[in-house]
Amino acid sequence: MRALGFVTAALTAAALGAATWLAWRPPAAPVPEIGGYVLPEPRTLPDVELVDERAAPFRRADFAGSWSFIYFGYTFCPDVCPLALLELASLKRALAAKFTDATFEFYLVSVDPRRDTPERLREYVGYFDPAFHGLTGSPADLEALAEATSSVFFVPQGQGSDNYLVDHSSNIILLNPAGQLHAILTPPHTPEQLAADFDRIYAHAAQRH
Amino acid sequence: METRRFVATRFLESLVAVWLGALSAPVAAQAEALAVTDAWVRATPPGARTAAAYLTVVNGGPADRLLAARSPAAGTLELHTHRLEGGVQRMVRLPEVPVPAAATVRFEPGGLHLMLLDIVGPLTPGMEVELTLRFATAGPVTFKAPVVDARTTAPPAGGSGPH
Repeated sequence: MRALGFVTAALTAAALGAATWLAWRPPAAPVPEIGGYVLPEPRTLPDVELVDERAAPFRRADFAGSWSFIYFGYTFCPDVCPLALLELASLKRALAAKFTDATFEFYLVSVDPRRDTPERLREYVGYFDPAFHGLTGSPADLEALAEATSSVFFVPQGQGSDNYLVDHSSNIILLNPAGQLHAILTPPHTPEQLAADFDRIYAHAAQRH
Repeated sequence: METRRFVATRFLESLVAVWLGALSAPVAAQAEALAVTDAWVRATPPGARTAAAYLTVVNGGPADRLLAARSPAAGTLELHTHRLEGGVQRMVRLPEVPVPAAATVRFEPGGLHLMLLDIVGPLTPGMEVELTLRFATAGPVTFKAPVVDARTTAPPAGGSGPH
């Protein structure tokens, strides 16, 4: 009986081993470690209706074709928004010098459409880089875009004056050239860190295809 | 009598002088003990109605509090800081900023800053902005801060310049 038990155990072990061997597949390349999160599967954005800095309609399909870096903010923000846009301008130069086979676009999404008109956005983002874009939209569309990109913002209501402050996420959102949410880059941001993170993200995305 | 009255008057005068001296001496000492350095104002993008000023308070004296700030360049100045709460960057208005004894308090991009609201006009490099900080103990401290274009020029200290 003891021998039979041993044989059974051995057979079971062999069967399990064989099953494991058969079931084994090379693992997907693990998502790279960055200052933030790379989505295991890129996520399609909701089809929001936005307006760009030329007052032209802007839909999610308009993000496609380039890697897009998106920052949620507002132009009345005197400190962190200029800081983030300066970092993105520096990142843009670094990426342009390094990647000849990829294109990049940079967006400030203003969550303060009451004060940030397309004209206001154009002069503001253009100050940091002539190729930067500004987007805004209705509170509902901005909410939808924020929710889909794990971003949040809070605009105080019932403001008598025009001097109100807006709370907003300080993450930088990265969309892939399919216009899908690909990664969320969390602060603190430096252009060097962002460029190094993009290198890893780009290499990982290339591997997956 | 005349002499006595004269003496009494002189005595009072000297008392007042000593009293005034006692009052003014510590004030002067504190003003020397607290200094503002490395001040700069971020050049404004076109159309901006707000701006931010940065500086360092070096306090060699007793604990103090920064209560308010003003400038002829802006309608209102507010003391602000940024707090990262659950991934959200919240710019928070502070009623005052503590300046501990023998401490240095830095106002830097992404942290403590003075927010200039309703600026009277664009702030461009080459300009200087007069700022007055009012401290609870040290009183008002007035200084001039250069306007710095952080796209091209490194700010005086601790700031974010071109990378």
